[in-house]
Amino acid sequence: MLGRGGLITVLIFSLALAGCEVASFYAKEKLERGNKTAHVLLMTPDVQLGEVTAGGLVEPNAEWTAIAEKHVVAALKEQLAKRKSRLVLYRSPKADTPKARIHTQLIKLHNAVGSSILLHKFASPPLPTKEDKFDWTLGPQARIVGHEYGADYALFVYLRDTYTSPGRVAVMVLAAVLGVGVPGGAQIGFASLVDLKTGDVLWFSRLARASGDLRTPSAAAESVKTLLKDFPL
Amino acid sequence: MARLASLFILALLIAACVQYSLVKAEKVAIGDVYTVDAQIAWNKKTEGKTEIWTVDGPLLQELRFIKGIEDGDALFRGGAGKKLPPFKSKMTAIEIKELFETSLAQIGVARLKTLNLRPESFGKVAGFRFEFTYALKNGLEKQGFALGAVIDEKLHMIIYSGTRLHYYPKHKDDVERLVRSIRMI
Repeated sequence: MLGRGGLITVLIFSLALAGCEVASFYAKEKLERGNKTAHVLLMTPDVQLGEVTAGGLVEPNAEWTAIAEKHVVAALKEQLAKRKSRLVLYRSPKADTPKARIHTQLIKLHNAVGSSILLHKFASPPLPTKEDKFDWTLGPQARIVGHEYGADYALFVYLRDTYTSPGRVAVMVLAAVLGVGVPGGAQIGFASLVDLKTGDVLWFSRLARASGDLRTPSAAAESVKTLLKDFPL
Repeated sequence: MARLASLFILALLIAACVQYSLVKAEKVAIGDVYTVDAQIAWNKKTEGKTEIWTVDGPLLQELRFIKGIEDGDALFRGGAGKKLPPFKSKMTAIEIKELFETSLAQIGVARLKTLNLRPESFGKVAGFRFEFTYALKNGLEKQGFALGAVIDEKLHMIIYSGTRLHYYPKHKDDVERLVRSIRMI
């Protein structure tokens, strides 16, 4: 069986090859809330940066990743503020309580739901019963998290950003001379918005492109803005 | 990193080969041995002698019909390089439950528990049933039940499983009605 990280990474890599920059699915195109400020719980973003080696493998870079995490959270706060929404940061429960175990299972379930959406909505094989539907959910237990934080929605963010090493550039140049296309770095990821009253996935966006940089505040802000292009709040 | 590259190739191969077809909410023949009344519409794919049905995707829930595996066949596909233990036509219900446990352990699930093995009819045929729970390597908890019978020395099983949170309970009642609707052909 594929591990969750492996499966998601693989899926997004395969999607990145498709060449479409950002695409979304909605349960609702716009969420009605009147003048009320929406409280959005940001689940710990899953971000990793790395370098593509000459052989085409990705070498994770912890320093870049730590910097990128800060930039991504700051950019998300800014984007949500523009949408009259307040970002609340999720903190994993420390004690091993029944409630903490439900939190953990909900996060793991979201990974499986996200993988299913990527596989069956963005890639292949599609599910015939889901052809005209977008009805994935985490179920009503998501209320437990919403109630604890006083949040209306949960936002999940997954980003992988890779950069081309000098060795890889040399391989790419040589391959180009020989008429073969060899990929370099890429920015790939997804975000989803979950209704914490119902558990329903309201919006799911996938980013896949050969440009972007999460190592600087302005470029990270551009990446987050692109990822949230069709955000329903 | 090599693992990532191989997973990438594997995912592309899987995506290229597997297709789902629609199972309507009506009477459906499972091979040439029995029929069931599907209570809702499902998506179906076939792997050898096994049909896998799902509503939301097999990562979330699946209904597996093992259609008459014979002496020497494995219960599940083991993946690259993994040879799973074989079914033997003279196996008892306890031995089949142990085969299920050993097979899943070799596939790599964690914390597998099987519960409440008991006699239960499979249509009009004497069979067995048990419940189970396990966790994936990443810790996601699943649960399910299995109903089976050996008919003419071939093992038939219906195994329903899904995530403990939401996706297993979501269609459990539909599947309970489905297994009660088994009619031998």
